[in-house]
Formats: sequence, structure tokens, C-alpha cells
Amino acid sequence: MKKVIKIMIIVLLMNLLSGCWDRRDIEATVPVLGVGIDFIEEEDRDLTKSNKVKVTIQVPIPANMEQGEDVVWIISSVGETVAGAIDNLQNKLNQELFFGHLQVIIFSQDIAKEGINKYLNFFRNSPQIRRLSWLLIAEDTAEDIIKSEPKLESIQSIYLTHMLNNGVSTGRIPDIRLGDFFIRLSNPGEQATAVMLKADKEIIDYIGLAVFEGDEFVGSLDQPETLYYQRTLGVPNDTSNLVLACDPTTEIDRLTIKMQEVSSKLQPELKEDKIIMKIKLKVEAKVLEQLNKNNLGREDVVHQIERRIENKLKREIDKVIEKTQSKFQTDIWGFGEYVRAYYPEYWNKIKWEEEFPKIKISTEVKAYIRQVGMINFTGR
Amino acid sequence: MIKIKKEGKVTERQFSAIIINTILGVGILTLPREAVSFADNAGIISVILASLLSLINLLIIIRLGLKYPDKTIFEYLQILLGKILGKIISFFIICYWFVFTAFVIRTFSELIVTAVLPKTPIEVVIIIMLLLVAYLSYKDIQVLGRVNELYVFIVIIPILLLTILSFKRGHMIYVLPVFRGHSMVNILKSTGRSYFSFLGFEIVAIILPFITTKKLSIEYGIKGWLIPSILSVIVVIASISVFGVFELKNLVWPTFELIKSTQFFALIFERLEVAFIATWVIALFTTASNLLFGIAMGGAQILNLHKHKTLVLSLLPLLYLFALSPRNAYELFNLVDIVSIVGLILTTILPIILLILAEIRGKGGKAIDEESN
Amino acid sequence: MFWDKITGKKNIENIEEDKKEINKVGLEDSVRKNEEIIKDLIGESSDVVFRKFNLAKDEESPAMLIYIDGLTNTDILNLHIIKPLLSDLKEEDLTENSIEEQVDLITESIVTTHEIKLEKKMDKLITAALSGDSILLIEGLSQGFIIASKGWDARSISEPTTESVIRGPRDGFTENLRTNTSHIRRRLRDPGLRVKGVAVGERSKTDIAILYIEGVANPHIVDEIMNRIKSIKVDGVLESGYIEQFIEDSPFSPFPQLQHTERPDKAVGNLLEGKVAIVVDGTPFVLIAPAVFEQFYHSPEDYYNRTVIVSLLRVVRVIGLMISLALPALYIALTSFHFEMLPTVFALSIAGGRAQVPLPAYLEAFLMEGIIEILREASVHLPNVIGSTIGIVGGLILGTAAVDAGLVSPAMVIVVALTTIGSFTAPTYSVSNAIRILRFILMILASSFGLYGLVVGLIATSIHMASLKSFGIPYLTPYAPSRLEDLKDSIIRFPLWKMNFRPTLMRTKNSKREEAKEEGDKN
Repeated sequence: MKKVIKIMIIVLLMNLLSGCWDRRDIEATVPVLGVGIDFIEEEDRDLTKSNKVKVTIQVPIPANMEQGEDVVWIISSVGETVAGAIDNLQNKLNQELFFGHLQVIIFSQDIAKEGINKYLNFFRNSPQIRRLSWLLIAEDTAEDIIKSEPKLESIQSIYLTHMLNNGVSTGRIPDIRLGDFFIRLSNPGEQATAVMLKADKEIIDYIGLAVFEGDEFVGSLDQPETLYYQRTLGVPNDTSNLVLACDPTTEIDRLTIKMQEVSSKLQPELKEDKIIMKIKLKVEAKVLEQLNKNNLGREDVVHQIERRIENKLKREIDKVIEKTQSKFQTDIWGFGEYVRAYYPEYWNKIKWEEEFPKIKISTEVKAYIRQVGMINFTGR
Repeated sequence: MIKIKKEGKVTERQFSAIIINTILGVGILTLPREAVSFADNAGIISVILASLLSLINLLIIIRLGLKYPDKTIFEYLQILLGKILGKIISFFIICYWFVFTAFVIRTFSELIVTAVLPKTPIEVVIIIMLLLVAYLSYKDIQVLGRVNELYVFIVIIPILLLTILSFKRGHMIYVLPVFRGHSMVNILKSTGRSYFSFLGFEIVAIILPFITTKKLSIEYGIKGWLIPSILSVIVVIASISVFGVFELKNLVWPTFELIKSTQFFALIFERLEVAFIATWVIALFTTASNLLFGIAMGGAQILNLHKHKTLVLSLLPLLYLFALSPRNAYELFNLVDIVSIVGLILTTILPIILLILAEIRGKGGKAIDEESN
Repeated sequence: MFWDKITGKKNIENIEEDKKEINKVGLEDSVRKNEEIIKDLIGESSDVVFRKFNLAKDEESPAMLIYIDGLTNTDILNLHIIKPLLSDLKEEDLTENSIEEQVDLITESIVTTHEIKLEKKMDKLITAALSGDSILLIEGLSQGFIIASKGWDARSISEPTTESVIRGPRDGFTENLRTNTSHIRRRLRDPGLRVKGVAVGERSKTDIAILYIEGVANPHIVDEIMNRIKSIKVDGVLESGYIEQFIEDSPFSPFPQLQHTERPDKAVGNLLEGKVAIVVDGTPFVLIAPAVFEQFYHSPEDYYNRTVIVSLLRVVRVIGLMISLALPALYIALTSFHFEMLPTVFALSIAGGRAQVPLPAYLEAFLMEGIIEILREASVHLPNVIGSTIGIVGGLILGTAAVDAGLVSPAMVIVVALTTIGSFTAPTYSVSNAIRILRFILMILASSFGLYGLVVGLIATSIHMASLKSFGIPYLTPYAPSRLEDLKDSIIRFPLWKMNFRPTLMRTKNSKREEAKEEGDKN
């Protein structure tokens, strides 16, 4: 009896081991590194009168990696849905598409205006997709970005991720990835954003932040605005600089400041059923260059510069907030989350989308200069 | 009744390890979603409440077990309730464990098939898992204790590391408000659901007679409860802080998604979710094999068999059929909810009744001498 | 039965018949008759010498010395046995004394060797002669003298070849049992050291010495080992491996359950921990029992070097073992199942390397591992002189050629090389054999189920290890069951002065290390 069981187990094991349903060799797949999603070109679109999408993918050719030429292959296909387009792509390929290494998903501005949730669903449902991939919005077409040929890296998607990661670590580019985009879509207290890019053959340019209402693209913040947006949320800054000029006509008074340490405190306050959002920003700055001969050794000069930083920052931040409140009317700041966290009873009563444009926001900036650089001005 | 020699086979540390490994199983993979399902941000409170409830139940079971220091629950049930009623209740407990084990294996296989081996038939994954589980359950209790002891840290460390690293992408504002704006009813509902991931501690009812130093069983029982509780609370906090409550409700496997959202310091490996699931096989396998051991042991005691081993093998095909019975993941989750309600009732009410009965008997009848070696 | 022929069952029966015959035979009081009996039993062998002479040159008292040429020291025979019996013994001694008095005279005053005793039984006499002693028969006595005269050519003490260390004693065990026990005695002047002798092998009658320290070793384990050794039924014991296979607990497990060593210092170190050493005549490999897995990556050198370095080295060894166990399986899992785990650029470069390779990754891995096994086996049997050449040809030329021809990918060559080198980090040879077997099993599992299969395989291995026992000691101590005191000498080796207690796993009588002599005052 025991022997029979043993033999049965062995036969069973042999059967199980001989099957290998998931085995596919690394070179026998087509790893997709970048996906671009566009609407089909205008004239075709008019003819068909349907929202057909064009999916462009970027596929590396590993065998050519050593030579460094012809490293990527770009193909595109059209379909009613993203999944359909990708199915069509699969028909053109010898091996199975693999999305486990997907680095960037790029949507064109046009498609984003119609709401990208339905196009994202494919990526959301697939267990292969990384939540840390980048979701990007192209100013013109996604295809342009996919097709661009940056010089420093042979594979464009990898160049792009390096560029974005570097931007994030230095505080220039907001750290909004696919996962964060999903989270912001689900969270009622904040609205989604995405990094916006523009490509021109060899150059890929980071141009700002796409602003969404729900999943629909409503507009964008440009690069300096994004800078202030970032600082308001307390992201420290490593390379972006703040240029101060008292009098724009004369260059003499110009100062370049680097904001090294930024800490922000967001505190909502409920007064008479109205929310006042208080933003307290503390900035530690460093003088990078100055064109006049201010003596930075003198305390009053430093204080003066500090005041100027504070005024400038407050002015700019208020402008950006104003823009989101009146122009876009979407809470990309996540103020709603703070209201939900601190005043849950109030939150349950209101609809935040309606409330956000009406709330009062007060900004308070405190600047400190810690480092003045290596030039000593006291001697003169 | 068959007397199996039970003295000094499991050390206290192994006893803790068995509790930890049995609790830490498939529950923690879905716990963050279950915790916030009704209670939103108060899910943290729900989890803490659930863990405290499990502690109370655990202590009651240990207390009960110490009254009959050389008997498993299946033996003293027959003493307390009489032979027939005792056997019926024992059978009921075994059935509950059985279904629980089957669904734990199925749930995890479901995750493996979704995330790791999408083309492999789920039957194959289940068979492999069952064979592994049976291999351990087939061995003696000493081996069971040793294997559990060996794996405690291998189970704890990855999940601890994961949660600590994931806080980097978290927003503490998502966690608030914990205490305000939630109805008690919802918190309790979530508590009920979260309780599922603490089930498994009731295995002590089987293990207790084998422990070497009975005096320490309460201390080490609490230790065994503490680690999974802390881990569960941390995982829930981390998940809420990374995803926020609203996104969390959308995620079928929140803990799995948590790994996908976490950036690890890049070693040779970039995405560790597959590796995490692979190590989580260990957590799951210990849960299942501890329970299967309990089932076989209990079955042997009810049926007056000499060895638990024969039952292990004959139960395998049944387990397989049970694990395959839900048609899809949603049906499975619904069934798991039912099982966890049964578990809640069984582990909360039954031990109290038994303890009261034992107290009454203890006063009237013979005093049970405490073991003191 | 064919099976019986292979296992030697029949032979054992035959031996038992022979034994009965020999046992029946007694000694006569005539030298001539005794000579005939012995010749009858021992046969006409050219190396058996029957030296006839007359005691005190007296023709009426013939005597005979029987010995095996080559096993005896001729100086002893000539100067200390034959010469005194011929010249120092006077004729009056023989005529005036009774036979009993003559015997006393010979043993006490005449023969000048260090050991001489009387024996009545023929079989004992013959065994003595066969193991190198000489037998003296004299007229009128129905007994024989056994005179110690062992002396044969043996390999001199040399450095152990299988366990080399940088720092540590250079002497190793030899094939001679007495030399080996003396090695241990010299290092351990403890009166508690016991050397129990047993002869095993129905025909070979190999001497086996079981060494332990009384009061330190657990008596139950010692008894168990003694019993198991005594119950061995085998024709001959040619190496300690025979003993090992007869007394280990689980013969079909890939893991070794006894340690073997060529190093006296290692043997003594283990004796001090309460273990038992089994020295077998004719082999330099001494067995140490019980053995737990933990010990197989310990080297005697670990205790001579400083603690920080040693801990680091042990970590390196464990990593080496892990690599050699799981790396090929991991490679298969990563390249044919979960390549999303690899960083994109790395994955692409592996894919680039594999682009020309015709074989799927798992077959590639099996092929390369198979080739390495062939090379390894070949290099063991090659004469030392060409061994290194073959290593170069096999390793370098085959490897480069295979990569250049696009038969294997460069990544695979790295994996195979790491695997092989990793397996040599273990100071003990036997454990790396176990890992070799398991590696292939894990590779099969990984090529069917990827990481899931790999983990399942590792779990099954660890269950097996947890269920193993070596003479009642769980194989995975001190990890499972965990013993905090023993963990001081695990992956991290604590300073020697911190390791105050003997391993608790042995359940020794004197657990504290320094108090070995004060027997029984502890506990």
C-alpha cells in the first residue's frame, strides 16, 4: 500500500514537473519599455468618427546592445481600445509582448482631455505593470516622445526614466508616478497631476505639470509654477533656483538663491463653516550669485534679502494657488486630504470639488539664509 | 482513548513560533483592505481591537488547556461535554479548521496564479502546495516545532523590511483621522473582518500538552501573539499611508501592491514582489501544515487511531477538492468571510463556555494538579 | 540468491561455520602437532614463517616461533626473542624446572619484549599472529605465547590533504590506529580520555578505537555508538566510510550525519565538546559523532584565528554554500520566469548575451552544470601532475570556446563558475556533495515553477533537515531547536572566553568548559 502511494506521488510529481506553463526565455519575449497613446490622426479620425487610439511601443533589440546601433524598434498599431491596439501589435510580432519592464506610459494631451481612465484600465489590471512606472503627458503627440533620439542613452525610455528620477531627486520634477496617479484618482481630497513633456527630435524637454480634474486633463502649470508648487508641498530643492530682482529694468539688483531646505506645514482651520487653509513655509536658502555689491556679512543686508525671498515666494505661490482655484478649479495640492484628516465631520457634509475654489488660503513664508558662499564682500 | 506521549516535545520558543507562523498566513495579504472596508481610517483601531480580541481568546484557551495539562482540546471536550457531544463539537472544530486550511491554500494559490505564474493551472499550484504541507504534517510534532522555529525570522523580516521601506512613499496625512468621524458599528464590522487574519492562534489547543515548561506557556503565548499583531498594525498603517483609504478599497491584494509601490535600494533585483511572494510561501505553508497537523491529530483522537499520519494522507484529496470548490476569487472571498465569522464565533464563545464548565467541574470534582517541571 | 551474493549474506554464514571449527580446535602439547594444526588452518602461505629452534640449544626441547613476515619487526624477533631463548636460557633451567616454572621463567626473565602473554585458544593465537604478533610454542605446553612484535612499514605523518588550513598544526592522521590514538592522547592529557577497542569485520578483524572523555561525553550517546558498532555484520572494514554507512541514522539522506576528519586538532576539539571519535585502523579519516549541520562549515582554523575575522569568514562560507546550492536554480527562475525582477538594463544585457544561444536557459544550465560535474569527477581520478592541466583545458578553454561559439551565454558561465567555487568554501567535503545533489533537484523545480518551485524545494529540504537526527541530536541545532548558548559558536563565533559552556546539544555532564575534571559537581 505504502509503495503504491509512493509510486503514485512520484508519477504525479513527474507529470507536474514536466509541465512548465510559464516558462518563456528572456530572449523569447518582447519587452516593452515605453508606450505612447495617441488619438489617430485627424483626417482618419474624421472618416471613422470613432475614438480609435494609436498605440506606439518602444522595444529594445538586445542583440544589438553591444554595437550600440539600432538598439530600439518602434512600432505602432491602431485599435478601438488600448488592449485592442496591443492585440493588433501582437499580431505583428514573433514573440509575446512583455510589460514587466515598462518604464513610461505617455499620453498625448488630446487624449488626456477626454479622460484617460478608460485607457489606463489595461495597465491597472495587469499584474506585470509596475506602480513605479512613469505616467507622462505629451504636449503634442506621444509618438514624438517615443521616437525621439536622445544622445546620451541608446534606449530612449531609459534615458527618460533617468532624467525623471534625477529631476525628482533634485526636486525639480514632482514625484508623481503611475501608482500615485491611481491613488489621486481614487482620493476625493486631491486631484491627479502628471509630468508634462515635449520632444523635439533629440531633445526631450520637461515643460511642467499637467493638471487633471478627475481623469480629464484641464491645463498645465509651466516649469516655474511647478517649482513653486513643489516648494509649497515642502519638497526640498537642489538645483532649481529662485531669481530675485527688485527692479526688473536694472539687472544690478539681481540675486540668485538656492532653496536648500524647505519645510511646509499645511494646517486647515474651520471658522464659521468656512475652511481657511494655512500654509506655513520655512525656507533655508543659499546665495548662489549676486550682481551687486551687497555686503553679505552685514546682518541687515541678510535680513533684507530674506524679506525679499519671502515676498517673492509668497507672491508666486499665491499666484499658482489662484490659478488652480479659479482657472482649473481642481485641488492638485491635496488640501482636501488635510480637511478630511482634521475636520472629518465637516468633510462628510460638503462636496470638496465645489468647496475648493471658494476656500481662503493664507500663505506665510519664512526664509533664512544660512550659507553665503565663498566670496567675502566685507573687505570692500 | 489513545494516549500519545506528550511530555516535553515542544520548547517554549517553538510554541511561540508555532503561534506566530499559524497566525501569519494569508490574512495579512488582504488585511489592509479588510480593515478599511467599513471603518475607513479607523481601520487601525479595528485591527487593534481584533488583535486584542484574539489575545483574550488565546489566553482563555491557554487557561483552559492548563486545566488539563496533558490533554488536547479534543480530549477534554469529551470530558467536559460527555463523549457524544464532545465528539460532535470536536468534529465541528475539525471541519472548520479543514475548510479554513483549504481556503488559505486556495487564496494563496490564487495570488500566485495572478501575480507569479499566470499561465500555470491553479490545480498544479495547489497540488504542489498540498504535497509540501503534507510532507511536514506527516512528521512528528518535534519536527513541526523545529521547522516553525526555523522559519519565524524568515517570515517576519521581509514583511518588516517591506513596511519600513514603504513608509518612504507614504503620506501621514492619509492615515488621519483615526479617531473621529467614524461610527462604532463600522469599526466593529471591520474588526470582524480583520479578525480573520488573526485566526490560527487556536492551534495552541492542540500544541499545549506537548510544551516542555507549562508554566511559561502564557508568557510565550503572549509573545507569539505580539509579533503578528505588531506586524499587522504596521502593515495596515503603512498601506493606508501609501495608498489612502479610497485607493486601498480598490486593491484586491493591498500588501502585494504595497511592495509594487515600494522602491528598494537597488540590489541585483529591482522588483521584489515576486521574491516577496516566494518567501511568503513559507508563511502560508507553515499556517497550513500546522493546521493540517491539528486536524490530523484531532481526527486521530476522535477516531481512536494510533497515528495522525494515516489521516494526513487520506485528507489530502479532500483538501484538494475543497480548495478548488470556489469558482473564482470573489466567491472565494465571500466564503472566506463566512469562514471567518464561524471562526470568530468558535474561538470566542466556545472557549468561554468550556472554561466556565471546567471551573464548575474543578470545584465539584477532582482538582487538576498543575504541571510544574 | 543473486542478491545474497552481492550483499555477502552467504559469506557471513560461511565464516560462522569456519569460526566454529577454529573455536573447537585446542592446542596439543607437542610442537609438531601444533604446527600441523596451524598449517592446516592458515594454509600454505608464503609469508607465514615457522621458525624451528631448540630452547637453550637443547635438542630435547624444541620450540617454534610463528609469525607473518612483513608484519613483524625482525629486530625484535632476533634480539629479544630468539637470542635470549637460545643463549640466555640454560639447559638446567629446563631440566630442573617443571613446565609451569619454565613458562614463568620465559615470561619473567628471558624474553625481553614489552608484552608477552599466554593463550590457550587456537583462534586467538592465529588472530594475534595475523595482526603482527608472534606465537611461541614450546614442547610440553598446550598453550602458546603471544609476543608483541608488531612492526611494519607505514606512511609517515604528513600534512592532511583534504582539510588544509593556513594556521594550525600540520600533522595529520595516518593509516595506523595506534599512531592516531597517540595523536589524540598527546593533545589531551586528561585521565578521563577513554579509548575503547573493538574489532569489526568477520574476516578483516579491523581494529576500531572509540574515543571519548569520561564525564564530558553523554554516556547514552557513547553506549548507542558502541552498540551500533558492535552490531555491524560485514566481511571487512577497509575505511571508516564502512562504519559511517552502518551506523548513520538516515542512509538515504543526502546530508552526512557523521563528520570525518584527517586533523587530530579537530578531533580533539570535538572530543572536548563531548563528542565521540571513532578511529578505524587503516585509514587516516577519523569519524566524529554525533554531527550536526552547523559543524560542516566550521574549520578547525576558526578557533585559532581572531573572532571578528572568523565570523566574517563563516558568513562568507554560508554565502558560498547558498550560492552553490541555489544560484543555478535562481538563474533559471530569473531568466525564464521572472525577468521583471532584474533591473531593465541588466535584463537586456542578459537577453543580449542569450540572443545567439540555441538552448533554452534551463537546458543551458543543466548542460553546463553537467559538464562541470564531469570535469570535477575527471579531475579527481587524474594523476596529480595532469590534474591542473585538465582544469585549465576544461575550465578555461571549454568555457571560452562555448561562449565564442554561442552555445552558452556569458552569464551562464559566470553562474557555473560561481557555483563550483562556492561549493569549495565548505571546509568539509561531504557537505558539498550533499549540496551538489540538491542543486540539481532545485534546478528541476525552478525550471518548472520558477521561484515558487525554488522556494518549495528549499522548504522541503529544510523540513528534511529538521527531521534528521544524528544519534538523537537534531540535525539543525542550534538553530532549530534553538539554543542560545550554542549560537555563540554558529555563524558568528564569539570570543573563546565567552564560550564558557560546552554545546548544550550534547547534554554533557560537565557543561562548563573549564571544570572538566571536577566530575559531577555541576548539575
